[in-house]
Formats: sequence, structure tokens, C-alpha cells
Amino acid sequence: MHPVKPLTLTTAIAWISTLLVLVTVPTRLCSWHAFDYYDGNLVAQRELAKGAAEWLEQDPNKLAFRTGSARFDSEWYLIIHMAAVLGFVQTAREHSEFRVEHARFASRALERLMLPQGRAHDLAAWGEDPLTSLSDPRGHLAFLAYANLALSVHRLLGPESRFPEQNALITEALARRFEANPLPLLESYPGETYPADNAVAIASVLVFDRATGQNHHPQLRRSIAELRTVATAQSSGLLFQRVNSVNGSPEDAPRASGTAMAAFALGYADLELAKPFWSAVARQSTTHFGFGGIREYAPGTVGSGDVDSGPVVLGLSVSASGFALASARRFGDFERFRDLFSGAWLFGLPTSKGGAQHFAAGGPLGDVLLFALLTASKPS
Amino acid sequence: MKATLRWLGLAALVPWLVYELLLARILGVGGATVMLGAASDASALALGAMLLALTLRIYLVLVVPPWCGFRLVKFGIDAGSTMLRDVPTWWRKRFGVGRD
Repeated sequence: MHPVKPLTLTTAIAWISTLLVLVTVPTRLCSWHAFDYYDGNLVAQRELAKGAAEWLEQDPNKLAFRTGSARFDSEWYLIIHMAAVLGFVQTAREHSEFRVEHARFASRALERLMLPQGRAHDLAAWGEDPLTSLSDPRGHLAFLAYANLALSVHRLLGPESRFPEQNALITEALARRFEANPLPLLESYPGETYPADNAVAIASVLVFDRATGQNHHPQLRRSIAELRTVATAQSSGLLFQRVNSVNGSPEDAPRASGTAMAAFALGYADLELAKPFWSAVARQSTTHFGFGGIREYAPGTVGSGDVDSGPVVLGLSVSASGFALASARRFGDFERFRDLFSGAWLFGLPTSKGGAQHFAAGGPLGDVLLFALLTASKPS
Repeated sequence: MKATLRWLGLAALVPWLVYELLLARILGVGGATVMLGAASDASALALGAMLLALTLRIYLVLVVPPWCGFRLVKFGIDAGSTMLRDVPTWWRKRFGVGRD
């Protein structure tokens, strides 16, 4: 038997060290700033806000996306401005230093959200403007849910809120439609019903109630129950991504991206309402070498990504992981927040320039969404 | 040590510089293409730059630190064992112990 050569022993020790470094150092590098964001650090929030504001200072037409689908172009335009409103309002509420400047930015984002390009996707699908057809029974959630969440959250800022009449009219229309529709859930597009969009619409009404002291809860009770039962896969707790517009039966798998967005939106209204959805999303979380992500599909289900989930790599969804950051912060789950943050920080290509935080992999949508998600706070 | 430093320069510094250059160039071009898996206004060149930047970042974060750990530990053990081997000689020279 040959004696072990010193070189071999050295190499073996070096390889063990390599493995130890692999499982500790990269994740530490990427989670370096996690606590700053989790804790609502003023400087961290300011940098995110500045990154988002730089997009808002551009001509809205320059933000026009060319995804190859007119529907997605308009949806992205709407989402980016909704996220901007949410981010600026919640940071203005968290830090009084931001109040004046961020209220101004939130108003600007809201004005741009209400421009025709923010609802072009809805108008094209329904053949009628969602804002001039509020007396009709049809859902229009593709625009109304997201616009009204932004309007209602903006109203939390107080008297300087913009578009209070539209906010009240949309809220009344949504509450009335939820109560009157044969199916407790409303359509986003003709023949297309998405539980996640309904969660956003419900959240928008409840936040309006919080801001104004009104009470639409009785009109929403049936829809909230539907979300929790029929629209939820009882085995995983995840929302079905799409249900039949007539009988509510599932037309897509239960998925984390829609559920995470529902938890995010409902978190603005009522943490208890958001909790079951967050719990289901949290059960989908996993880590690879300390980098966290959310599995898009429940165990035993295999599927691909789409425009809702983003690319699904190793079973992990980009958008579910992003939306989960917000709920992890709201529900005080720092470990999960840190793991998810590490993943976002690794793949988001973060870069700081002139005190503005950008995420090159996400472009304007990534910058503004992460601004809203990383600064999401508990409803007060 | 010189070889280790040279390798560090080549294997980490150059990719890092390229990465930073790519970030500066591609920023604002429309990276949502990569994030959301749909075509955007990013040109093929910008998309290629984005994917290269992503690859370099994964390499810089996941490969370089473990590799540095490997080199440093190996260097440390080699240098340490050489020092330990030289201790008796140094001891004899310093204190004259064991001199014939």
C-alpha cells in the first residue's frame, strides 16, 4: 500500500475548502444588503426609488414595450405604473423624509397609468373603454383591478390623492359586479377569468374602504369565499391560474406566480386574508446553495413558464420569487426574505449609478417592480 | 504566489471588467426580455450582451470565490508545511541546539 502523498492530502483539503466556500460565500455576497431592505433602510429605499423615478422622468412613449403582443405591451405599461404608485406611496408612508417628493412621483405615475395606453389591452379585448362602461356588468379586471389598487393605495396618502372620483366609481362598480355576477369571480378578458386578478380587485376595494371608512365587505364575501375554496387547490393551497368563466372549474394548474401576486395584493388590505396564500407560496420555497426561489408548480406537477411566471428554471418562477419577497417582509420571515433576495440579487444583475439602483436583467419593469416588492410594508 | 495572483487577475478581474462594461452598455435597453421570457425591444446584440453578463455574473459569484478558496488553501498548506519543515533548521541555527 502506497503512503498518501502530501500533495494529494493538500489537494483533498483544498477541495473540501472549495465546497465550504461554495455553500457559504456566494450566498453571503448576494445577501449582503438583504437586511437593509428587510429593515426598510432609508438609503436602500432611496436608491430603489431613484432607480424607479428615472424611468418615470422619461417620456411615457419611450416606455412603450414592443413584446410582439399589443396586449402584453399595454399590460406591462399598466403594471409598471401601478408598481411605481405602490412603491412611492409605501416608502412615503414608511419614511416621513420621502413624503413630499414620493407623493409627487406617485401622482405622476398615477396620471400616466390613467393615460389611454394603460388600458389599451382591456379596450381592445372588450371593445369598450373600461372607464366609460362602469355601469355595465362585465368584469374588465385586466385594467380595473390593477388601476384601482393603485388608486386606492394612493388614497392612503390623504387629501393630496389623485382621481378620487374615478377611485370611488371603479370601487362601486367592482363591488356591484362581484355581488351580481353569477360566478363570484369576474372576467379579466372576455371568457378569461384569473383568480389572481380577482384577488387584486378585491384588495383594491378593501384598501379603498380602509382609506375612506366605507364598507363593501358584504358585497365581496361570496367572492372571497370562492377564492379560498373553489379557486384554490386544497392539496397545495395554491390558486388555480385560470378558471372557467361560467362554472369556475380549473382551466390551468394551481401555480405559485398567481398565488404570490394574490398574497402581495391582499397584503395591502388585510394580512389575515393574505396569510393562507402566503403560506402556500412559502411551502413552495426552496434553496440551491443558499439561493432561494419559489417553485411554480406544486410537487408532482410539471409545467413550463409563460408571461405570468417568467422563465421557469429548475422549476423556479421568476415572478413568484419576486412577489414572495414582499410577503416575506410583511410576514416577518427574514430567513426566507434573505434567501429570495440572494436569488434576485444574483440573477437581477444589480447595478448602482448616481445613487440609483437598477436591475439590468429586468429593465424598467424589473426596476419598478422590485422597488414595490422590496419596500412592501404591513397595512397600518 | 505570483502564479496565483496572475490567475486571479485573468480569471476574475478580466471577467469582472467585461461584466461591468456590459452592464454599462446594456442598461436600459430592455432586459425584461430575459426576465419575462417574451420578446422586447432589445436587439439581438443587446440580448446577447445580457446573456453574457448573466453568465459572467454567475461565474464571478459561484465559481471565482470557491476557486480562490482552493488556491489560497493550497498555497497556505504548501507554505505552512515548508515553514514547519524549516523550523528544526532555524531552531538549530538560532539556539545552537543539536549542533554536533
